[in-house]
Amino acid sequence: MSSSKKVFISYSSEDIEIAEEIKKGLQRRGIAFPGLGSGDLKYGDNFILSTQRALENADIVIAIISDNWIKSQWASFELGASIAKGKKILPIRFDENYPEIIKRMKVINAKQFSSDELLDAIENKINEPLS
Amino acid sequence: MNKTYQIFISHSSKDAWTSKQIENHIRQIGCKTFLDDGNIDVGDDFEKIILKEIRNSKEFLVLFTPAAKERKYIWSELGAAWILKLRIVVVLYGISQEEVLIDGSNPAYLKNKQWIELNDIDKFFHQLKNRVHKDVIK
Repeated sequence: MSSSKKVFISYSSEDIEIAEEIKKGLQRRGIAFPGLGSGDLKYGDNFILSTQRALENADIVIAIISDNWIKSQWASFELGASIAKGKKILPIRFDENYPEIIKRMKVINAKQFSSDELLDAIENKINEPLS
Repeated sequence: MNKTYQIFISHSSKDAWTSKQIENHIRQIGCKTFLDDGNIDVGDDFEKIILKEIRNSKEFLVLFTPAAKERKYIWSELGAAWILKLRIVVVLYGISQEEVLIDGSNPAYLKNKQWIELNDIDKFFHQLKNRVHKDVIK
């Protein structure tokens, strides 16, 4: 099943492999990405503009929540921006800890799934109607 | 007094006194202020209170100190102010621009913002006065 919704992934640069894997898996399932997110950084104005545009064009923001993510200032920065834009946030937890700011959100625990099951779970969430 | 020109002041509770002084100065210029209480850290408050006040503000002032830099909430507030295109002013006290941007992830977001040392903050007050004045004439 394909989705017309666009996805932005927020992640720490140390988790780029996880982010890439999720991105590729979702792309195979027909999900569009206006941009990958914080980890694919190119310093400079073009980067800022393209991130801003990608974030604004996205319907859903996937946050790869890990100990690396929690340490990253920019991950918090992107999450704040995403909430401010009223984006649907889809937090996926890879470690035990997660930050206060997402406590109220429904968090997917990646450890409970195989990688295919995780992609299924994410795809299902993406295809839920936006409230 | 220009009731609509609000400045959002983001800080750590460890810097409460200094932030209060900044707030007093900004009020004397005739602006409204919102000083987050420096302690709230729960998702509900971010959406209900913080976002509403950021939306009501024209400018976002963040006081970066060694304590503030570690407070994740400030970074989320900054992200919200950035995407909502507020004018952002970064005030430094006891920390340098390089130290704030030390997290290699992505310093680019803040590079082109106004950075000012706390000792030079009168310059900001002066500029703010001019901006508010223009806003009233408009």
